[in-house]
Amino acid sequence: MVTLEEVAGLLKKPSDIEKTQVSRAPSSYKPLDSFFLKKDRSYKQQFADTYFLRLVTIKPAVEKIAAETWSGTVIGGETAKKVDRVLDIRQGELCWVSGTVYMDMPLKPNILEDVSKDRWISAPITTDRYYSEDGQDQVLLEDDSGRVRLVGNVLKSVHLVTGCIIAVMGTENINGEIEVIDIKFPDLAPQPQRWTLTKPPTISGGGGHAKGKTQAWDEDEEMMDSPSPLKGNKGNKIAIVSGLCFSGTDPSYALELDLLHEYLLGEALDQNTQREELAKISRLIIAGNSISTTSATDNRTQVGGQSNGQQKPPAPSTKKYGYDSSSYNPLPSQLLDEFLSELLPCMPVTLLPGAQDPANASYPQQPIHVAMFPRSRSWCAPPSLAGPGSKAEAGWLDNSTNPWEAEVDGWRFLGTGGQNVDDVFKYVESEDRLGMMEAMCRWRCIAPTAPDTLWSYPFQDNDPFVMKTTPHVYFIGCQPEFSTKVIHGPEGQVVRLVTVPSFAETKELVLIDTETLEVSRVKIATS
Amino acid sequence: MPTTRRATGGARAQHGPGKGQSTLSFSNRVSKSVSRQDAKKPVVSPITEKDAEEDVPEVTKVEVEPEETLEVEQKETKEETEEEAVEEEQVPTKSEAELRAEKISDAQIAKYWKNVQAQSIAPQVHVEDVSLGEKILRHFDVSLHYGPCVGIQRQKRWERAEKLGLNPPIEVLAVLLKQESPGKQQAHMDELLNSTAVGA
Repeated sequence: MVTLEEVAGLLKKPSDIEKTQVSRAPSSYKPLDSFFLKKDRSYKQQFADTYFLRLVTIKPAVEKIAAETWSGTVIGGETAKKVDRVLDIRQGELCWVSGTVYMDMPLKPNILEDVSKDRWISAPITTDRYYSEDGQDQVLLEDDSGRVRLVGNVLKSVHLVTGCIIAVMGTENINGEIEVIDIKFPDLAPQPQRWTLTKPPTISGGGGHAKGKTQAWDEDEEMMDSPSPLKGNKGNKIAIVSGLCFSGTDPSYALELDLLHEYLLGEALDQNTQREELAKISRLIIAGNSISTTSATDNRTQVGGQSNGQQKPPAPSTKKYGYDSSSYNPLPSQLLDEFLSELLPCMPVTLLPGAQDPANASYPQQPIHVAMFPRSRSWCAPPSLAGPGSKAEAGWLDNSTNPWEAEVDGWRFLGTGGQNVDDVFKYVESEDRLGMMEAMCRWRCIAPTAPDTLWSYPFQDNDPFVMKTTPHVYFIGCQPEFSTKVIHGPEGQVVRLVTVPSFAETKELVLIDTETLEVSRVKIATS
Repeated sequence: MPTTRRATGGARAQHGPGKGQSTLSFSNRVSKSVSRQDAKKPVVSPITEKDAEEDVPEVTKVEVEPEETLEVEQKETKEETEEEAVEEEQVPTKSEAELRAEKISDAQIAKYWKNVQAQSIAPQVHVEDVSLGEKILRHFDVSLHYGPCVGIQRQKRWERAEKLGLNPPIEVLAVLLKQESPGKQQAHMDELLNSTAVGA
């Protein structure tokens, strides 16, 4: 008979080495409900109300800055004076006025053109750029009295899109247009202090600017096991990823997705790295495009064409509403659900819908319904009768709106899934997405092109796209590449701008440090 | 044991074996007075004042119900009072502007209209058969300073302008309140643009 000790190497007793459990850093989180829409909202309103709201809200700020800069300016013997309406500018008089910009571009989709040419298109044309090189684009300034065209070389030096509120100084020329001498933007809105809405984890008493209201749930969430949270918090990180593009048909980045999963779970790499780096990741923010829309219809029609021996065009009868419902593939959302449900027990996740996700098509996108995630839904907040935005605490899985605003670890975060920047990108000549993000902060409007070319809800009471307060971090998902910048405002505001690349293309994710707001990039490569 | 939350209705709508018992009325527990037109909650509305008086002697007679249901009902009434408190907060702020508007007399309205007319160069034509109130409302409709008038009701537009700090004239709100309900809430321009012709 062979005893166990003689046969070495088959079975071993459990080792006596002490293994310490590494626990993840806590994340203090309070989402704001700025972009939630009521369930019983009506669409009977006109979009003019949205423009009016935007103008009325931002106009005082613009006029203040313009008055400070231009009052008393004398050019060519004339003093600049303010006029109330855009149409009050007279020839030969130097004056300044504020209003909304409207860009008249021939390449923009125009419903009147389509109707007059009698073309019925089911979906709007998506051209790459509306900006036309040969100067056919016109910039007009509009307010509640009328519209006036703007000309001048100054216009080429700044980004301008439909919907931003500006103040211009100039005079009227022979053609009835305003020759612009100077332009002013409202610039950054006042920025709240850190920890305005939540309380910092204060064990070493009196830390942070704790002037916010105390929330009972917040105290529950802070785990009081770390000895000196403020000093040791130097490493807490927030991970932002976008463009996961779970797809049932495209496996080219599936390996990297698995590695990302292990990285976030903390199972990859050795134990030292786990303790130092991976356990510091306190929250994951998924910024859009988690599900890819590469449908299986293309495959099917190709297969059908080949098997017939001829190249047949796809049969139109199987397609209704633009997609083939018989080829619905539930796999992408299942894969996303599995990814989330394995990640959620140890890390809170915020999920923003993107352009390709199953949420509504117009801005602001409402949260993806929890029914899409049968396994992860137990981590969502329980449905509250009072509706979204009530005082119920956010769940471990926070499926949120796009755009999204929250206070994470005290800092005010503002994030979108990318549709707003992509739309602004079509209006201007440059490729600099960070410059456009900075321009949006200085215009105080997150989506100025809504509702002109970006589909949006017709707001009637208040426009949530107006930035009444500047965030500390502004990130945009699903961009072609990673970049980051810090911009400063006139009253000392500091904003960190980040473009988060699409994971399916670049295999990168972004880590933001919660104390210094520095950004680092992690690339997952398999070769 | 934490209080369990029952389905809506609670002790009030008990079917089956509980049907024979009289329901406890909690309308007298709420000590704040809520104006009748604002209390639009299905829980409170079926109980009229008469019932409350009748139920008061019954409350003392009915035996003490098990603690759980009492706690549940207390929780419900607490939520009711919270909701009513919220509505109460809304009611005073609404009636603040409304109170001011109700104090405006007809003479003040006429004076306001005279001032408005004095600012225009020519007198209005084709408005002989339009009442003074309607004239004022139409003037408010076309004042672009307060936003477009199409697609929004007049009173809501006034309240939105007030909220945005545009100082709309209080006389307009006075005229709106003096109309018999529902009154003409749709702007005249809106009616013309969205008119639907009813065929013969």
